[in-house]
Amino acid sequence: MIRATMAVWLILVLAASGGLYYVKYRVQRLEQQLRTLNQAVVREQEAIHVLKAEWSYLNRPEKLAEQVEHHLDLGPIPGGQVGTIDSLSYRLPAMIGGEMLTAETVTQAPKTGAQESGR
Amino acid sequence: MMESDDLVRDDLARSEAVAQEARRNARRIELVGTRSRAVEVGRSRLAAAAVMFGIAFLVIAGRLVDITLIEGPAEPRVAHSVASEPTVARADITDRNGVILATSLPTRSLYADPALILDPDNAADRLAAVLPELDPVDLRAKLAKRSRFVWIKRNLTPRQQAAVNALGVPGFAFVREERRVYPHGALTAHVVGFTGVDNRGLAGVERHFDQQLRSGPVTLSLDIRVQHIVRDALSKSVATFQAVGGSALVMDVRTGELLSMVSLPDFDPHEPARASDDQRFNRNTLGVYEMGSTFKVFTAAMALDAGVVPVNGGYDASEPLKVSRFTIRDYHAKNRWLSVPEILLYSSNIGAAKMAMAVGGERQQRFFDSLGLTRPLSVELSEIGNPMTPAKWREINVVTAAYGHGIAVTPLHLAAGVAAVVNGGELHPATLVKHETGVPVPGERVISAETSSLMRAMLRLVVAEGTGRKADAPGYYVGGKTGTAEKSVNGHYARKALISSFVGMFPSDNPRYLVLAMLDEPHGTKETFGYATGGWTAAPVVGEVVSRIGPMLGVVPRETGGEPEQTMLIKVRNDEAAH
Repeated sequence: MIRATMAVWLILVLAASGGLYYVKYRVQRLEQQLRTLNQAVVREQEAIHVLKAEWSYLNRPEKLAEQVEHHLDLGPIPGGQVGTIDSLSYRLPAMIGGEMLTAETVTQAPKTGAQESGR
Repeated sequence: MMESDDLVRDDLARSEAVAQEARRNARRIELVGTRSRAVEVGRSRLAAAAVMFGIAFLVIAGRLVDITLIEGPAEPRVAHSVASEPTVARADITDRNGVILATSLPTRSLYADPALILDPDNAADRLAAVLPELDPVDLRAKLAKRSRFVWIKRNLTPRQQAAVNALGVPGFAFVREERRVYPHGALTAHVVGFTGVDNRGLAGVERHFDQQLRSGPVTLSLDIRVQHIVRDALSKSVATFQAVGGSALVMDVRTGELLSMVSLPDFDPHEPARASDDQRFNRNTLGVYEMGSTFKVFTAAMALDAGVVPVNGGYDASEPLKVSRFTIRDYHAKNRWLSVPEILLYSSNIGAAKMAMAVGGERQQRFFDSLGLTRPLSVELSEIGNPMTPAKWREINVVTAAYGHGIAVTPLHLAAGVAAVVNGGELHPATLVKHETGVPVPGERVISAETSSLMRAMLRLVVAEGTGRKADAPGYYVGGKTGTAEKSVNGHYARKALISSFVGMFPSDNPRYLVLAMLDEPHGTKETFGYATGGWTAAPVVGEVVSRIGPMLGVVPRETGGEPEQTMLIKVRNDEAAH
């Protein structure tokens, strides 16, 4: 009886120490991995930080204005080009009553639209 | 029921029997005499020891549970993330949209340990070859020193660092340092300010928020796009009119936030030491000027709010006004009776003076106090100018202050005051820090909402019909007031040295933004027929700024032609048309 108990305990002790050994080394490996990753993260963050500063530098309004003038056919927005959705007066006929858009409804559109917005 | 009661009784009887049996058994092993006492002692000692051991084990077990489960292990349960840590010691300054205005970049600084350098002359020559900006003679002296540490060069570029490493000379080493970088350079120089070599804020926001920047970023109310437009328009005007300088700002009249603040000439914040005092001078907050006719806005608001004159009332401005030994004249003299709106429209000094006299010096002084014109600004900068007010508020001071002379304030004082007059009557202190949306802005009532509404309509009239026509932007219904003051040089007013300004707001019926432009000593050109007054020089700047920032800030322009609904009807006798 005592022998059997001893054997059970011995096996338990061995299993426990084996488990401990395994977990400990695994943790060490993971910690090493974490350190490397953290260093990489810090490096990347520094790089991102520098790139952000560079992005801000390259997006200087004066620089952009100069580039736009050189390469694009754009100018400052005059007041007349600004509007809101609400200021659009009528809806497309296809939206009214869920009917299909046909040549006839399109030609009728302004009339229907005026009625619709009048409600 | 009966049955269960019987069962209980049965059970009780049975347990009684068991207990008696146990008592009989105990009596059976009970011994008597000395032997029995020895056994008793042994047994009790054993029990005591067992209890002690038991307690000890319990304590250990308890502590084990405490350490492993309750108190938590020393190692963090969740992997510690470096991603949340700031990479640099001094945080960024950004504009209201998150554009970086100032940031710290990690750099490497080169130092040497002369004790480790075997051949100083050779090392100095080789180092000077890769870093040509260093003086070889100076370098030799440094490397031959009998110390263990000498700075060679701070803030090297990565390329320079690689070149020094490639030399392979022992005794050189690097320290990680930080360098403050301003991606937008001179554009925001006066607001953002600059830092010294040790990254301590020396000017502007950098200085005001020096402590806060060590713990977290600061978001300013500036909008870099607006800032660019304002600077662009102002610098064109400064060049055209050959002014010695200029300043301009854009303010949200509902919150007091500054979307832009430009002072010209400006400087490169990376090299503040190279800039002259004039370049570093922030005209918006540090410079105090007699602002001239723009003060008539305050005079009219004060008189209407105090009820000393109705809006259709007026004063006789047919003859120059004599106060003690001074004579007050009008620049755009009409030589007749003028209504209150006409006094603003034609910028009549006589009318404004009479209005102020009707209000009285004490009330005028109190009104200026309530607008914050007599005390330094509370804006988040270190460059704050002290307003200059008359020591004794005599009659002549009342009269001159009515049209902005004899009292000197910063342009920002003027902007905050006018914003309060037009926004419905509440003063919001000017601020450079972004205001969180949805949080109500504290304000102090300075005039009634009705007076404010009247003032808006009159200021619109100034732009639509009066001296400020050039400030109009189609669809935006700009309202405002021109100002032209002669600069005081050695106690006398210099006829040729002017401070020309325009303070405007848009849209007039429900203002969102205030735009102020000021030119320091502008000179008239052929196009302006030699005039260098506010209406000719500063007003066009405001007009251009409004038409460019309006669409950007989401202010929808309206059909041109008609005037906004809230505009009141003011009868104006148009002399030019009549004659």
